[in-house]
Amino acid sequence: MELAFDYILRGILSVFFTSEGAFIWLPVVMVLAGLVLGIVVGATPGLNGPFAMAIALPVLISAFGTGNDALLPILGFLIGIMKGATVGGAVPAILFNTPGTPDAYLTTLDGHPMTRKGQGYKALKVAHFSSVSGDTFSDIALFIAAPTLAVLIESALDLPEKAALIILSLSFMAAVSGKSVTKGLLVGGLGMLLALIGTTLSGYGPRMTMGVTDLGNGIPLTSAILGVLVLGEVFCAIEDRIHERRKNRQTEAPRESTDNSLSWVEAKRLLPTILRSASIGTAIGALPGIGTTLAATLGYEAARKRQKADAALGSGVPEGVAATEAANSAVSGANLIPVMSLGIPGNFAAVFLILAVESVGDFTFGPQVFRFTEIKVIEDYGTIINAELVIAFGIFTLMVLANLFNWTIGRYVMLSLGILAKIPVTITPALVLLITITAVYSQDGGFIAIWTALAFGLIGYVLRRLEISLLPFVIGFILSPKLEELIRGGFSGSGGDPFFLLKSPIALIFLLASVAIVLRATRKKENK
Amino acid sequence: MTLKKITHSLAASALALSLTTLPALAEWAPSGPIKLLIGFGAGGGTDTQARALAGEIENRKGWRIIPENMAGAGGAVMAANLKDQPADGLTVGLALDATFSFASIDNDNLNIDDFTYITTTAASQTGVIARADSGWTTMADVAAAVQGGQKIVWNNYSAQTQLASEVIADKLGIDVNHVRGKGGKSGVNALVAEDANLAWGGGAQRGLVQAGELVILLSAEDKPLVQNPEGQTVAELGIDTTFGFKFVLAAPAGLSDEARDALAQAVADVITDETSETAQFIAKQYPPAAVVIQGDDLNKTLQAQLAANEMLLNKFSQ
Amino acid sequence: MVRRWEIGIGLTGLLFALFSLFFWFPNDIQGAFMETTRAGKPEPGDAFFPVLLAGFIAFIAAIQIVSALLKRDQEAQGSDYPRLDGENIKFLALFLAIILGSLAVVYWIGPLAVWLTQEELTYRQLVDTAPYKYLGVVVGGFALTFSLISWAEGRLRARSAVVSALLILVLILVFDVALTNIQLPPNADF
Repeated sequence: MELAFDYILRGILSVFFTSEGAFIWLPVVMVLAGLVLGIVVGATPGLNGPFAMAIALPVLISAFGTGNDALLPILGFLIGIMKGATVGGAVPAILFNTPGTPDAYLTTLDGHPMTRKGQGYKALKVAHFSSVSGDTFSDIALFIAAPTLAVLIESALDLPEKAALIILSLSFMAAVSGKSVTKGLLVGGLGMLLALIGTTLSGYGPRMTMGVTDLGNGIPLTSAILGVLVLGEVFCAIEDRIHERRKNRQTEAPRESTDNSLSWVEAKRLLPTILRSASIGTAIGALPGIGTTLAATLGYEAARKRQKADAALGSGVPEGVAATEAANSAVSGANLIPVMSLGIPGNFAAVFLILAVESVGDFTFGPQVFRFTEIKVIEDYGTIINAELVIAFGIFTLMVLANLFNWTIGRYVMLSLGILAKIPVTITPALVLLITITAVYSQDGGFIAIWTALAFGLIGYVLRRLEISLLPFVIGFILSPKLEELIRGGFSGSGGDPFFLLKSPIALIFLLASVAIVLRATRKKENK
Repeated sequence: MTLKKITHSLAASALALSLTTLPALAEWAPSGPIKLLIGFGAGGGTDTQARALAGEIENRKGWRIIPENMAGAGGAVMAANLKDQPADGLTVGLALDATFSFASIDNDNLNIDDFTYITTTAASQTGVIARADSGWTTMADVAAAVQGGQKIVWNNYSAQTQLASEVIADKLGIDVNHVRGKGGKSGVNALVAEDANLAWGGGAQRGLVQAGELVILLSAEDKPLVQNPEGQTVAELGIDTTFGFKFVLAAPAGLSDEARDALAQAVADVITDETSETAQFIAKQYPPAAVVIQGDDLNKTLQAQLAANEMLLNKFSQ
Repeated sequence: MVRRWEIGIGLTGLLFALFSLFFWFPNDIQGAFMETTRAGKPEPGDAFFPVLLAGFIAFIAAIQIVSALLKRDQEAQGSDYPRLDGENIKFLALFLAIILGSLAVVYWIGPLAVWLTQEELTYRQLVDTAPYKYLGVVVGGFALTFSLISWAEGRLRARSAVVSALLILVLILVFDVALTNIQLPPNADF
């Protein structure tokens, strides 16, 4: 127990002090800056949190480098964006009836009627209160569940077990496949295959590069992920704008807001709704890949079932706003449970946190993170310590900081951003495209980065238009090189035993669990 | 940080002033910004060294140097890219001697004659390492363990170290399972995670050896490693090749001698100055100090290495 | 129609897997599926994992095709199902033409300007010198954002030009002025 406290303390201190012991503001400032940016981005039509995280990442890496000291400031900024964007997303939904994300759509159901009743700013305050409550609730669940889960899984894993664990993680591709498991696994396999380009363990030189020298070290990771997640969305957005222009859709201006107050009594009355939705959001978030939209829907439905006669949901009642905002915000914290304990991204925001961690320092997410190694100090070398665990508690600290800022400053930032919602949605996608191109070019150093991002953008576009989930592709792309290294290592290390994976009981359990996950996902889809 | 930079540049300009009184060693100066390709990923030993070096040459010479990481296949990906650049001294690359004298064997993309070799900067402390709790201190202990029935997994971070492991295991007459890792630190990581019993360290092992967690069993250099001065070398096992590496700065073939010598001199000025950040990094990570082999001497050294490596490969595959 | 798309997706996957197994990998992977170490032990080669993966893709694609063939009843569904139609292809063609055209400007405008104005020097020597180093991102970047915004809005507006110009200014401030040791497009390619 003492050891655990030592690690938690070191984690908290790592945010405020450098490794030399000097006090630093940097991570704290970065959290705040990220949060403000996130709220702004969330409140801007056509932008969203994962976009901003994606573009910020290469800029941050260029600014702070890839040393271990750069990790907490960079993650602080990204976590700030993630949390800010969830809050900010309610602004255009409530004031202009223009949801920026699918889950914000449910916020419009009661939020916009409130605006029409002259309660626009009251609705924003409800949204802020519920959103931050839900988020905080979810973070607490993360702080407890992630270490527990990881400790349960992590028991001196060897090469076969590690390989089987990655296969288990990959089996979640089926769970995040959306409508069709086979299509999800198909694009997951494609992602895994593309990730093998260039890289090789033998002395033969690069493979599968189709003669392109620049692909010798593989497809540049950041460019590829930004391409499929950001550019694919940009392609779709520009096309949608062109179609909409032909249909000539207009948004209405908000009515002057007259009822701007949210009293403590009103807030307290919302608490049961918020708690219910936050629990739903947290439970959903903990399962990889199900996502915020379902959480918001379930939260709203649960509130509808309990609605009182005088406050029917959909007519512009605070409960409606609270139910959706608390649920969708509660997803983000819990979503980091599979990220931190297994390294599986459950949503797009998590993908960019994983990407940051992969690119900066020598930290990786996974069960090894929560190993409570005995701390030993050795002269002239440093300390033998599980540095990853310290970083993990540092990340938790950053999240707590972000919540504190969100409770205090975030409210004012959000309330002042109504104006941003007027930014025309015709402008943002083109700007995002140029920013992305410039950012990947500077990080990956050449046109190869732009070609990669565009090619992967095209993949993202096609998958979106065919309504095939993108997450299996991204998960496969990220995990595949590691799996190859472990499988080849396990095979050679066992002296060439082709059944090495099946000879360890733990590995066998992981493999059976993988099969179960895929079968379950398939059955569930068929019942629908 | 800024203050440190200012004092650095002050010191540098003072040095530059004192040097102006000497006859200029080389007239050549780059006609534009120099791109320094780093054959390894960000954050590793090569990267740290290259970036420090770039900054200090910029400060001292006023040349603009832009470092860029181009990792993959032990520097070979960078080298394949470098060889196609113009030989005007505006693109140079930092990799290992093995990139040119080992990876180039049977490689369609790479030939030792594709490059102009400028200078070495430092030499590795390569050796075979194991966990301290294995109780081993020499390779003989390993051989005894194998004879006692223990299964040995040996992690090799490159094709060259795998060949070396096979040669050594052959000499000792033992049977081991070889595993390939990625990157110079993978051997150390595999030992710590207990995924392997033996591994190679080229410098990354320093801290953990110091800490008593790992031990050095064998030096792959021509003399014992600094951290294990009484230890065995490969020569003592009857192997007449070394498996350590040196960092080599290269340019595309056809670079003028003037440019080559001016670049080599600029590098040497920094790494042989014990007060420079680069020299201090080298002294710590690749002890005892910078290794400077330049121009024609370097070319001859690499050609000799290539011949030795080819002979070893031929002998061993028969 | 729904079924045709379902089968099509499966077939695409299957063809890709077969193309990889019988054309791409044999020509582009030097290592074998299994190799023997010099010490005489079997070990997986560079082709090992790609071949397994391609096999996996082929297997899943086959399931996709078979299950689409078995589900005859879906045929009745309406016309609104996920697909790429002629409209999408037309959009993509024009969209990619705009992007590639702008990127060509990004790449060539700097060297062209140097060729026109400089006697001795080449662009390679001026990639870190203003104004040349900004030309690509200023002219090409402007062409890209301005044309895409105008297309989306269906008209040319001064506002679009101002927004594009402002963004480029911010990009230069961030990626060139604030951050050293990284380069704006296309300067790292020369």
